[in-house]
Order: sequence, then structure tokens, then C-alpha cells
Amino acid sequence: MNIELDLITACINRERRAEYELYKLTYSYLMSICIRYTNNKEEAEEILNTGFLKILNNLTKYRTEIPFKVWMRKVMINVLIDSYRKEKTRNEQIKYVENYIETSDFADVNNALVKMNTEQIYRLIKQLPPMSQKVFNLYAIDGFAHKEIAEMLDMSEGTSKWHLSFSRQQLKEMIAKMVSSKTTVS
Amino acid sequence: MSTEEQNFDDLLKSKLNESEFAFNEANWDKAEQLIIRAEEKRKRRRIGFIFFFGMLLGICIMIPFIGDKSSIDKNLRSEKEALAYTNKIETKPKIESSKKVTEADVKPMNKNGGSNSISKSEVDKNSIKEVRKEDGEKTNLIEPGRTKKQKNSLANEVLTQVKEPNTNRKAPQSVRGEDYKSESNMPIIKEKEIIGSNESIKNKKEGIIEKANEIVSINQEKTESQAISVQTSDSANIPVLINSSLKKDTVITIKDSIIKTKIDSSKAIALDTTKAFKKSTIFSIDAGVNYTFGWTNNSTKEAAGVNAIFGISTTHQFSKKWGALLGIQYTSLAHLNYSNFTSNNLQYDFGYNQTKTVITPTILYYVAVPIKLQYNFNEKNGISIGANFLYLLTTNSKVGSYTQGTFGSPNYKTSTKFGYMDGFATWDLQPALAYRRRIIKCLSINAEIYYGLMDIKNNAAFGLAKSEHNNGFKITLSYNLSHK
Repeated sequence: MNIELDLITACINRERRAEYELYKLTYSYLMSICIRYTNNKEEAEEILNTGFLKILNNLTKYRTEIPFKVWMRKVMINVLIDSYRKEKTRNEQIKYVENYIETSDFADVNNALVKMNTEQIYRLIKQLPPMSQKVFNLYAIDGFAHKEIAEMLDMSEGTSKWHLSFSRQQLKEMIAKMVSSKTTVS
Repeated sequence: MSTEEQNFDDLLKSKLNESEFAFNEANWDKAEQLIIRAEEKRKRRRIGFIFFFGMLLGICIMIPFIGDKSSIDKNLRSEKEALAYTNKIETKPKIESSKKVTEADVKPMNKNGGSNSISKSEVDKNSIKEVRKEDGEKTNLIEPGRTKKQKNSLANEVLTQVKEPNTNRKAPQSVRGEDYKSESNMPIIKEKEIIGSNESIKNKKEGIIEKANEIVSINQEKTESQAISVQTSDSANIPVLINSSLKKDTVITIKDSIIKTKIDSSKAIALDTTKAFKKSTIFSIDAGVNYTFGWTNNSTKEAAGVNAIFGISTTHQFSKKWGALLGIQYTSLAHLNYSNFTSNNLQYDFGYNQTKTVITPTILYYVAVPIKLQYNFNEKNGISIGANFLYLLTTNSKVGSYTQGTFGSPNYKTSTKFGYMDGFATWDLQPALAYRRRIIKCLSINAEIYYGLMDIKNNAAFGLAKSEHNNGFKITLSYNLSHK
């Protein structure tokens, strides 16, 4: 994805053709972010459009010192977190699992992970509890620090760390289960 | 974080980054709709801001200008019969404006032309002192040698002069204006012997006031409610401004450079401006019309025209100038003709039977709640700024039904029905600026201009591409129910 500065300028000038071009160029990347934070593709598309509108409206604030991709990702994640906050009233119940079974070590899991395709990984992430899923996405994939995540999701740093650890463990278990079921079948 | 954990994260990240999503054109259409809607909203907000800013600017310009003038007008109008001849005052030489009368400014003269000195160098506004002449003698304000009857007749004579400003005035002989001397044509008035204070006037219904309050200013610009013009024997008018409210029939006489007052009645000429304002609530019935500017859709003009308004309102006066208005009104938006809902029904039986129904909403009925802040320039004129909140009650639609079958001739029926509200905004907000003028005591006329912020018709429902706003002006008559 290579975004020209001219294209950004044209978008600032509200040229519809340029807006379309930008949308087309960034669609895949933005969708890959949205899909990780939402429950289904329709919801992801809806948030993608809202996020894209926010990107267009804030283009004047974009500074060329930072890569456009990074800036765009930041805006998109903010939109996703805002959307999550709006839905927070549903009062998500977080079940703290005190003891989880140690299945296999990371080495085995990593070997299995290499063989998995993206679709399978998405499916695994989606099986995580929503809050853990968000923390894992923000920390492991999008590179935010626990402090930032704590501010974004209105929790303590400790809780963020717990969610990350819990997510990893859950994913590990799920991958191990997948591997063992495949072995049994074969 | 262990290396294995790090590897796990990195692996996941790289796997996820591999993902590709095919561009969906339909998704762009949705995004475009969002962009268009956002642009319209931004435009609307800009117009609303300009409108609001314009109103604020208008008020800022008008308030100081009209408010100041009207207060002078009001005061002079209400008291001109009895006291003030402003035109005359204007022609008189001015004395230093806004300057407290001091010993130096006011040089009372005795009969021999010599000036009396005042013992105090500075005038104390609130003090009422017994005034003494230079020689230490107490000032005698009552002319010696006159009976009470004579004095009363003299008082009436002066009063006649004062009350009829346009008649050829003659200086009352009894007023000893001839003794009044001035080098500079200025009223030479003995300070602290001029006018009774409010308190002294109240207490002394009859007779000449001996104790007096001080002059605050002798300056036409400083005219408040106490402008007095006193005519002397040489037909000169002496402008005198005092810091007290005069009561009806206050008689002013001049003797030996001393202006004296006499009270014949305590009935007030005008409202006492010093009286504290009492908060009040007024209820009114409003009725009138509004003219909606309307809008154009594909060269079809709609909604433009006159609609009726009626309702009730209440105004709470916080102060003499400021008040708040809250009301409830019925209003409508008629002359709609462009947008419609169409339904087709085709049934096959023995042959076919087709029914086409076209529903065209023509009138939208609203209940409006105006909330405004009022500013009264004076008793008769005022402006208000605020907003009307509109709620769509129902609609009136023209329903045309066209039926055609295999057998028989086509049939076309029209009827009117209420209640098709799909596609219309339920709420509307109209910032408004209004001017009110009182016609008679219980009736006022209001002129208002308003701008509707909401899009009346949902573009998606009617397949439209532009926003329709309910803008216009209204003229209403308000009957004051609280009037006694």
C-alpha cells in the first residue's frame, strides 16, 4: 500500500474520485484491523466505513513525519475502541479463570501455528472473551503498551496483563486441541 | 515475556498480516452515503452557526443603541407634561457634564449681587443639612408677608405654566425671577436649597420645603427622570436636574436665587424609577400565520406558503429588561406535493388485477415549543432570541388509487388520509429571532424569523439528494391574559 501525498491532498480538497481511490487502497488493510476487533464481517465493514469517514475528516491533522499507514491504523483503532465503549453498557461479564490446564509448551504450539492459515487464526481469536480479545489484539498485533491499553479500555495495567496472559493461554490450548484432534483423526 | 511467547506473538502477527480482503464496491457505496451525509451535516452546521452569530451580532449592535435612547425617551415623555422641556433645555448653555455641583460651580447670589458661600466644600450626596447664609442666618424659604392662600395661588399659577409647555408662557409675577441675577445666563442656584429630597417631599405634603437635597448634576445629557424647567420673569427657562423623584403638582418657585418646591398632592406623575422591580409572569394567547420559504426539488417548488399558528405562551420577567418565554403552539407545513410513496399490487386470478396506490403527503402537523430569551428595550418594544422545538404530530396525505383488471374499465379513486409519517423527521429545531411591539395594553404583535436545522424529508426514503429545511417568518398577535 503506497499512499501518495497528492492523493491525500486531493482528499483534503474533498475530491470524490480521490476519496474513492484512498478507500480502495486502504480497504484490505483497514479490514484486517476491523475484523480482529469485531464479531462478524458486516460489523467490521460498518466500522470500517465510520473509521474511513473519520480518517477523511481528520486528514488535515495528518503530519507527514509519521507513515500514513501508522496514522491511519491509530485512527481506526480509536474508532473501534470508541465503538466498544458505546457497547460497554451491555455489561460484559469477565470470567476470571484462576487455574487453567497446562497442555503443551509454546514450542509445539508455534510449530502448529506455522501450519495454520489466516482464516483459522481469526477464528481462534474470535473465540476469546471480548475483552481478552481486544487486549490481545492491541498488545500482540497492534503493538500498544499495557499503559495505553489500560487507558483505552478503562482498566488497570495489571488487568491488561492478565487479559494478555489469559488470551495466550487460551489460544495455546485451542491450538493444542486442534493439533491433537488432527492427530487422532489421522 | 519469554522468547517463546514473543515468537508466538510474532507468528500470529505475521500470519494476520498475510490476510487479504478483496475490495467490495458495494461497501464503497455505503461509505459514500456516509460521506455525503456528513458533508450535508457540516454545511447545515455552518449555516446554523452563521445564522446564530448574525443574530448575536444584531443584538449586540441594537441593545446599547436602542436601549439607551428609549430610556431617555420614556422618561422625558412620561414627565414632559409636568416638568421637563427638553427642547428648551437643549438650547440653554450647558454646564459641565457629569460634574457634581460643587461650591465653585454653584454661586448663590444675594440680593445685592454678592455671592453666598457654602460652609462645606464638598457636597455630600446623602446629607441633608440645614442651610445657612453667609451671615449665619437661617435661609428663609417662605416669602415673608404672604398668606397661605396667596402662596397657594402662586403655586397654581406656576403649575399651569409648567403643565402647558406650548402656551405662551409668562413668568409668574409672584415668582421673584427679577431678583435672579446671572452673569453667564446660567441658573445660579443656591446649593442645598433647591429641591426637597424624596424623603422630605413624602413627609411634607404641604408648605415649602425648607430642608433640601443637593443637585447632582446640571446637564441635559444627564437627564434621568428629574428634568425640571423653571421659567423666570424674564421668560428664561432654567434647566434644573435633581436627584429625586418629583410628585404630581410639585410647584417650583424661585426666590432670591432659591428654587423651592411645594407639594399639593402626593400622587405620582410617573412611575417611581427608584421603586424595586417586581418579578412577574404573563400568560398570553398567540395566533397568527407563518410564511415558509420552501425548497425546490427538480424545479418543483414545494412547501412555500402561508400556514396558521396558534397557541399559548408564558413570559416570566426576571427584571425590567429581561424575561424568558415558554410556549406551546400548533403549526403546520403545508403545500407539499413532490414526494410520494408508491405501491404496486398485481394479482393473477382469471386474468389479472393491478392496483397502484400513490400516497403524497401534503401537510405536516407539528406541535412547537418556543423557548426564548426576551430583551425589552422599553415597555413597547422588545426582541427575543431562542429556538422552536417542533414535534411532528401527524401528516395529511392525498391517496390516489388506480385499479385496472383484465375485465372492466380502469378505476381511479382519491382520498385524504392522516398518519403516513414514514420518511419525515419527527423532530425539528429552529433557531429564531423575534421582535415584539405592544399595540395596546393587552395586545402585542410579534414578527419572527426562523431557520429549521433538520432535514424534513429522509433522502433515503424518498430517493432525494438534497436537504429540505423549514425556514420562514411568522407574524403573530399575542393577547395578554394577565392584563388587568
